[in-house]
This record gives sequence, structure tokens and C-alpha cells, in this order.
Amino acid sequence: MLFNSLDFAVFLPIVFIIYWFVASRNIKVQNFFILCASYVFYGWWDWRFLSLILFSTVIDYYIGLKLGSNSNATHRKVLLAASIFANLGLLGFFKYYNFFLQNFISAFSIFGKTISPNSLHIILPVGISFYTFQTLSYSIDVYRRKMEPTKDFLSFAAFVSFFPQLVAGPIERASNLLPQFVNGREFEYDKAIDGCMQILWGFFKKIVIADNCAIYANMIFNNSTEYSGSTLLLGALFFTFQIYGDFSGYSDIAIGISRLFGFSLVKNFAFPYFSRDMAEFWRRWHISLSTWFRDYLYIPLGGSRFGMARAVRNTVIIFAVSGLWHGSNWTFIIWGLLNAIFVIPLVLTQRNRKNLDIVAKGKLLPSIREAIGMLVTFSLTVLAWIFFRAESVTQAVKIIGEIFSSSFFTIQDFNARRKALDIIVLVIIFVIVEWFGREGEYAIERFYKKSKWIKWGQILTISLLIYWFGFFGQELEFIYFQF
Amino acid sequence: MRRFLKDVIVYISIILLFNMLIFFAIRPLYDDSSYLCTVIESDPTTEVFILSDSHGTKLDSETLQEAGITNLSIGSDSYSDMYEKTKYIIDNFNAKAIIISVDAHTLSKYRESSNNNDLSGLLNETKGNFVSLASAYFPLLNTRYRDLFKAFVLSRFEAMSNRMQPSKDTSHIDWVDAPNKEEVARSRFQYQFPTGSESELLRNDLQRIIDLCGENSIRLIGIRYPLAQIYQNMLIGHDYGAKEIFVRQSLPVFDYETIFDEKDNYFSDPDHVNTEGGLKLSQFLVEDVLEYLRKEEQGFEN
Repeated sequence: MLFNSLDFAVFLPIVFIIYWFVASRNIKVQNFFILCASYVFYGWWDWRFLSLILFSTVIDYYIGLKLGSNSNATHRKVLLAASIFANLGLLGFFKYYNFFLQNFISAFSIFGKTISPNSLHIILPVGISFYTFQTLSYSIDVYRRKMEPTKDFLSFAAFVSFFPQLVAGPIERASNLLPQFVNGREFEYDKAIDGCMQILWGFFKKIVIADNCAIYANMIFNNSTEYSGSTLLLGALFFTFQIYGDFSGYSDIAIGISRLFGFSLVKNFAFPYFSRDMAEFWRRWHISLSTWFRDYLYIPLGGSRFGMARAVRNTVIIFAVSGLWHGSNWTFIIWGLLNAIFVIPLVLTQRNRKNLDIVAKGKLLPSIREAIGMLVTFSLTVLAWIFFRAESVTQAVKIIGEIFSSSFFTIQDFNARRKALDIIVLVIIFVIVEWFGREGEYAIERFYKKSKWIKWGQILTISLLIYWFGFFGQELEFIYFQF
Repeated sequence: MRRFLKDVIVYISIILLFNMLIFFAIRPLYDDSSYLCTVIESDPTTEVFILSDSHGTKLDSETLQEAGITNLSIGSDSYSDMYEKTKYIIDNFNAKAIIISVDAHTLSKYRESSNNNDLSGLLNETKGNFVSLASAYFPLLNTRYRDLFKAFVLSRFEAMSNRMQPSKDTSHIDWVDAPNKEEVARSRFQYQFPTGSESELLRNDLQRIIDLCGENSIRLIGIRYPLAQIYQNMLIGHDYGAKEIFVRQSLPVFDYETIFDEKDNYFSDPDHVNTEGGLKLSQFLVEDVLEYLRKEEQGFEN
């Protein structure tokens, strides 16, 4: 079920009413209801894949219990390995089987050996990269004794499948979300209103910004050979805002819906396009994944504790793995490596933790130095997104080559340019709103709290903008569903 | 919770009020729409229909009517609009044949965004499932209403700004007397042929029309409209392939692209015939259609 579908518009109020008015007297009933609602939400896409969620849930629940009761170091390692094998095995089979097979065949063909491919028509289960990482983090945290294993299977199953964040995150840690299932929730007016505002803003980002940018990004990337350098750059910029609006919009909706049900999820985006360097960008983009890789891969590999060479190696590894996590294509791996190349100079000069606070905090405008930093970071990000969006590495290279060629100075009259200008104006307004709201949890948070009238004005204005500019031709999937 | 529910009810009430406002403002525009009326109020005994974009609008209606042909061509119609019209024709008329344009540009990607989808979709809207019925009465759920509402509001703004500006000279210049033919044709070419490849979306729509007509035993005939000589030259090597699709599937095509070579007096611009050209073209078309149908009925192979 998509958030931007009529099905969900019917599903959400029904679940909300039953959750607070029927099931609220008993926490077990409430958790059971959330579990059922989450399974319906997921099963709406394809009920057969519920078995994978159930498998992952059962495996990690029992491994968690065993890890908690076992003090033998070897046994505990075996148990953790079993959890890692089960979760990454699922992910590897459904997501990477054909990719590795194809590359294996290509590698052999270099030596003149022909292998007849036996690829399978594997459907990638929606959200598998998210919930496997979520359950895996639980097992690792229990193994590290950072948390006690839960004995409440119902709460654990609801934690794994919690519908607002099941298919595209944020990737929650058990230490944050699981206690909320165990301890219960209270309805709070302020939290619910805040949730509604964040949902509304998320829909604006998705339906107005992302889906409209998608029209032109797709048009330009799908016919990249026909466009000049400047138009290709415009396509890359459209994609830059498409992916931000799409993914951060999804996260906003997920966090907002969770608040309606009394839950608090982690922040997943913190105005990444206002970052002053690439290290800051990665602290602000898809935070739940970046911190996952930091805690469960980068630090165990030694982080930056064993000299520069090790720190550089570890940085390359986490970015390459992060690229691979996004999809089984070389374009994603190169996108990851490119980001590693951008971050490594900061690691080497130990400037990667220089910009921790939001830019120009408490000020209207950034300093010239900050503005230059933001511009450079944004440009590098756009460059990297070209690999992320392109169908192949060759296409990405050609696009970049064209952007840096003399055709950049050709202003092309591409189809529907007039409408594209409307979208550019909308994006500029969007960036301005994000800038003024950058010190909040999400862009419009700080404004509506000033008065009742501002709140209603804001709600109606955003609703009207969604109605007026929203792309409703078809329900467009969120990009991160495919990861 | 009570306070929250109160806020939700207020919000829903405002949305419903807005919905009603749009419904009452826009519904009459639909009901009076000449686009819909032309289709709905067609002669019920018609057996042959023409579906084209602006290229078909100058066909002489009297000549066509005498031959029992109804022309439903309208500016900017794309294959998705024509698909909706085909569906409507099949459901409401005893159609024998449909003539549809297969010009070089009809599969162009610009037609994906330049079309009449907001209106044509309404032809078959109130039939079918609950969602389409609901969307007819809840304009907020219906993008066609939204698009029409936008067009309506923007046209009011335009009218206001036009009143404040001196009126432009809109007197008509025929193609034969046009001073800058090369430039006009070039600009038209750039508009109609923005990319090298055709629209996959429209190609699918065209195939859906072919399949639909096939399933309902309706003869589908392609038509290519005349082009001025200068535009023909410009189009060499540029064709998105609608005619090719017909030829591949053994469907007949009446190709009039070159019939008015060196006869610029039959054109109003590089690719549209004027009234005189429209009359002449209609005579050719009627003759060819009747001949084709006669042969088909007699069981001859074309």
C-alpha cells in the first residue's frame, strides 16, 4: 500500500479509530492490532512475502532470547553469525543473486570461458533492505549486551513490521522503538498535531516537489543522448530534488503517522542540501542508514582508531557497501565510491567533524565561506546523483562528459519547457521554506507553533498547493521502495 | 483527543466546502463543453468516424455528412483522447469504420503533455467502478476537474491582463502570402519533433485503439494529412512511426501528405490546410473511404 494512494486514505483513519477507541484499553490488544494492520499494509502489495518478515522476526526473536541467556562466548558468536547469515542471506538472495551471477559470467567471459546463465526471475520484496537491517541491529545490540532481549514476541513482531516505517524506513533501532511497544503509548494532542503537520509537509515534498521533478528528470535521463549539456545538468538538478522530496517526504510521512499513534521515530533527514562539506551531508542524509553503517560496520572495522590508512580503507568500505545496499548495479557502487572520494580528504585532514551544527544557526544568512562550502557540497552531490540515476555507468559518464562539453552553452528548447519553469519556481520556493525552517525537526515545524491562525493558514496553504500543483496522474511509487 | 478530533472535523469540513465550490463552479463547464457535446450529440446513425488532432478540423463537414461520416477531430487530441473516443463510439454507435490520423508527429512525446485528457476521459467516466463515479462528484479526487479549474482561473487572469494591454493584430495571413515560411516551418518542426524517439505511452495507446477496433470488428483506417512542400522537405527522415505501425499490421492508410505539392494556397500554415484545402481533401477522402468500404463489403482485398 502506498502512502499516496486512496487505499491508504481509507486504511489510516480506520486503523487510527480502532487503535485509540477500541484497542487502547489493553496494550497487548493494541500491539496485536498494530501487528495485524502492519501485515495488511504489507500484504496489500503481495501477501506471500509476509512469510519473509515472519521468518526474520521469528529467527531474531529466538536468537535474541538465546543470546540473552547464554554466556559462552563461542556459542554467542555462533548465534550472532546465524542471525547475520539468515538476514543477509535473505537480502543476498532476493536482491543480489542475479547481479552476482551476471558479473560472475562476465568475469569468466574475459578468460574466454562461456557459462550459460541460469538467472532466476526474482521479485525484490518491498522493504527487505529496511526490515532485515532493523532486526539485525536488534541481534547485534543484544549480542553486545547493549540491551536486554525482549520476551514479548507480540511487541517484537510489531516492532519489526511497524507499518509507517516498514517499507522505506527510517531504520529503527530496537533500543528506541521496542520499549515504546512494551511500555505503551498515550495520546497527546500536541504530538498528534505535530504528526499531522509533518505528514502534510511530507505529502507536499512527495506529490508536489518529487513527482513533478520526476517528470522532467525521467524525460531528460531517458533521452539523454538528445540533450545538450545544460539540459542534462537541469535533468540532474531535477533528480536531485526529486530524490530528496521523495525520500525525505516518505520519512516525514512515516514519522508523522507514528506520532499519530503515539510513537517517536528517529529523524532521518536534517536539511542535507545545506551541508557545508560531504561529511556533514552524510550526517544529514538518510541518517538512520548512515548511523547503522557507522555503528555496525565502520566502528567494528576499527573506525578511525588505527591510523589514517585504516580510516581511509574503512571509509571506502562503508560507502561501497552503502552503494550496494541501494541496488544491485554498478552505478550504485560507483555512486558510493564517488562519495567516499569526496569524504576521504576530510578524513585525512581531520576536518570531517568540523560542521556538526546546522549552518548559520540563529542567523538569517550564511557567511560567504559557508555559502561557498554549501555550493561546492551541493555540486558534488549533484554530480554523484548522476550515477545514482543513470541506467548504466556508460550513460552516467556520457552525461557528465556532455555537461562539461561546449554543448553546455547551448540553451535547448526541450518539450514542455514552460511547465518545467513552473516547477523550477516551486523548487526555489521550497528551498527558501526549508532554509527558514532548518532549525526545526522539519521545515514548517517552527512556524505553525507561533499561533493558531498561522497553523490553520499553513495547513490550508499547503493543502491548496498540493491540490494545485500536485502530480496526481498516477500513484508514483516512492523511489526507496525499490531498495 | 476531543480537541484533536475537533480540528480534524474542521479541516475535513473546509475541504468538503472547497470540494463543493469546485464542483458547482466546474461541473457546468463540463456539461456545456463543446468537446463532449460534439461526441455525445453526434448523429446516432453514423457508421464512419474521423478521429484526428487539429489537422482534421478543416475537413468540410457538409461533404463528410453527405457521405455519412462524422468528424470528431479537435485540436491537441492525442492517441489517449482518441482511445477514449473509440471506447465511447463502440459503446454508443453502430460504427463500421474509424479513420484515425497517423501523421509523422502523432507519436511525438510533446503530445504526452499537450492533449485533451481532462475532457476526453470524462466521456467514459461515469460508467464503471465506484472510484470513477466518486471522482465525478468529488472534484478534489479528480485531476481533470483540477486541470479545468486551473485553466479556468488562469484564463480569468489572462483576460484581466489582456484588458490592460493594447490588443494585438490578429488578422489572418494565409500560408501562400506568409513572409517568413522557412522560419515558421522550422519553429513548427522544433515543436512537433523535440526528441529522436517516439512516445512509448502514445504508442501503447495507439495499439490499444487497434486492438479495441479489432475486437469489435471495426475497420480502422489511417490517414496522413497534407503538408506544405517546405514542411515536407524539412520532415525527411523524421517520422515517429504511426503509419509504420499500421502498415506492419496490414491496416490501410490513406496518405495525402503530398497531394498538395506546390499548392501553398491550400494551406493556412506549414501543416494545416485552410478551408479551401479542407474542402478538396474532404472530397478525396470521401471518395477513397466509400470505395474502400464498398470493396471491403464485396469481399475484395485492398
